[in-house]
Amino acid sequence: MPTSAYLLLGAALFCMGVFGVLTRRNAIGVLIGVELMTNAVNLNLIALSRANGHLTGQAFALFSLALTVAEVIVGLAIVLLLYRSHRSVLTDSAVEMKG
Amino acid sequence: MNEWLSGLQTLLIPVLLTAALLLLILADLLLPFRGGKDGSGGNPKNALGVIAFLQLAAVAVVSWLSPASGLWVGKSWVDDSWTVFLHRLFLTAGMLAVLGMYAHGKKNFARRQGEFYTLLFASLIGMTLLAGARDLLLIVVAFELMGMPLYIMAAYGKTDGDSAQGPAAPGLLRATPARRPAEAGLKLYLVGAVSAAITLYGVSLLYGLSGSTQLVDLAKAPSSPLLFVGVAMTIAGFSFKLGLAPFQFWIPDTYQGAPTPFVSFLSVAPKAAGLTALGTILLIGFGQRGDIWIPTLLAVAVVTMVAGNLLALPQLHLKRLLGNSGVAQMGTMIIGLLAVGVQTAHGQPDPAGLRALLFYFVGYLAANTGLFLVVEALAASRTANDAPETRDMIAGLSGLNRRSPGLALAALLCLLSLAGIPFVVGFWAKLYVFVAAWQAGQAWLVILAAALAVIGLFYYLRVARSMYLGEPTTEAPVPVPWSLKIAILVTALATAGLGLMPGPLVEAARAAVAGFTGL
Repeated sequence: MPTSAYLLLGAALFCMGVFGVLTRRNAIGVLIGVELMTNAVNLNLIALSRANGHLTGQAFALFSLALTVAEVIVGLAIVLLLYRSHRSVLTDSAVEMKG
Repeated sequence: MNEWLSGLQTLLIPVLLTAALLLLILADLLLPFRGGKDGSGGNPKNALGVIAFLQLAAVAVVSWLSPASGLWVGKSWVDDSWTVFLHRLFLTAGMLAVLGMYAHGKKNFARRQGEFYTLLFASLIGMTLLAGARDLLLIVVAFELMGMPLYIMAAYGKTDGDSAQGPAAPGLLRATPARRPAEAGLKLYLVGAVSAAITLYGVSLLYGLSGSTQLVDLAKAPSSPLLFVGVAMTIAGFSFKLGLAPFQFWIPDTYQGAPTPFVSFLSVAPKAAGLTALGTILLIGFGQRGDIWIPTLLAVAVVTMVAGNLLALPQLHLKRLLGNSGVAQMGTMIIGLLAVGVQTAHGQPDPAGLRALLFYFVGYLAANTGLFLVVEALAASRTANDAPETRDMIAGLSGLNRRSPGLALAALLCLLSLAGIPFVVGFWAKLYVFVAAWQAGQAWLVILAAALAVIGLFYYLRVARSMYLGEPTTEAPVPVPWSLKIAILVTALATAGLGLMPGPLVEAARAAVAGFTGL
């Protein structure tokens, strides 16, 4: 399989993630969208690592995974806080401040 | 083993901060929580703020005593004079943040003060690592280390659990947290997480094309549309985080909802760290190939300045006004970066723009932090009798000069500095940036920025007019806690002092940029 196939798949995944982030009203759904985006990144990194013939990209992907895990933990904590203060995890409920 | 030790020595400041963070966690575990409502009654946890400040002060002293060694850790981190300058800037910002937070934390989340300072330290470690990072992987990791604690800190609000007598209710759902900090945290987090993913995607393409994560190797990447996409996505991701238009929508909301002393930190240090990181990627990686990134960044700078100024114009809420005006200030800082980029692309690197940028950071740190802390002092002094709709509003400052002339003078100095009036530090900051851009042949950009600064004058001076000409609702002076008083005094003195004598700072910035490795 050529590298471009993986990159195309990665781009498609990334776009799906962006679509999810933009359209989901549920904060958890937005988090899943972000997850799709970072998975696209990991796929890119690993495919490009193979294309370049060294392991740097794979190491990068491991770091990226760890970052994503930490980020999701913080995100879920904030969503929980939102639930406690607003009794809802819909992003539309957090619109008190605007203008 | 020896290599390890020398690596640790080169990374002295981040290592010391890590040790300080661990000690702070330990102190937090050892100190019990006692006391009643509002953390009154000699809560031992209040000592954590003092410990955090002393630790930061100690690290700052070490930083001032140890000049740049010029040594590298592997090929990914360098301890040059540029890094050292930024370290000192971030440590100063950290100390101001602890001073600003001390009274606020004691009163609003007495039980959780230690966590807050621990998170602040984690963010500072990220910033100090970012300052010297010359490798994409390290930049991404350090950037996230800086950013993630900020999401949590933004969501810190007053909860019922803290003000109740005795231990807090153990159940997750018993205490109801404040709504606005939760909203502020969510907005900052969602923007941060999405922007991190966008940046990572851009970076993954840059890595694939150049075959290396080191910035110097990025120049080897062959020109292709994919390279342009990678650079554009990296800039877009950073734009989200730095609040550059058109990705600045989250800034006023987050600033309004988050605790004010935290906002005073968020609005300067992380932005400076992010902007310098973006600058190192673009200048070291693509300095000779300005055509890839200069048009994009130019468009971002223009849109950011226009949007920031126009959105700040109608604001009556002080924190929202400062948020939008901060967006405009970021646009001006990018001009400094563009000036260097244009000169480097023409084959005659002239670091005047970078010097102006460093000078701008210091001036902006003093003025913006000072102003937010005045807002915090006013908010903290409010009683139940005050009308809730004046909280954090320009109207709430009305007649401040007759209540507390010192506080009003400090706020006035900061406002003049942000507006760029001679002879306060902000004037020189703007002037140096404009001169650098003019010399790089960007005359129209300078004229546009100067015209927009006139709009800025209007909304900054509207705040000053309210303080000096408005009628106070009460004649009582504003009670300011001592820690906040020190912080406001330091920022006001720095704003005025550096405005009258910008020479030493100019020299420091010159020395810092002279050692910038890789230009």
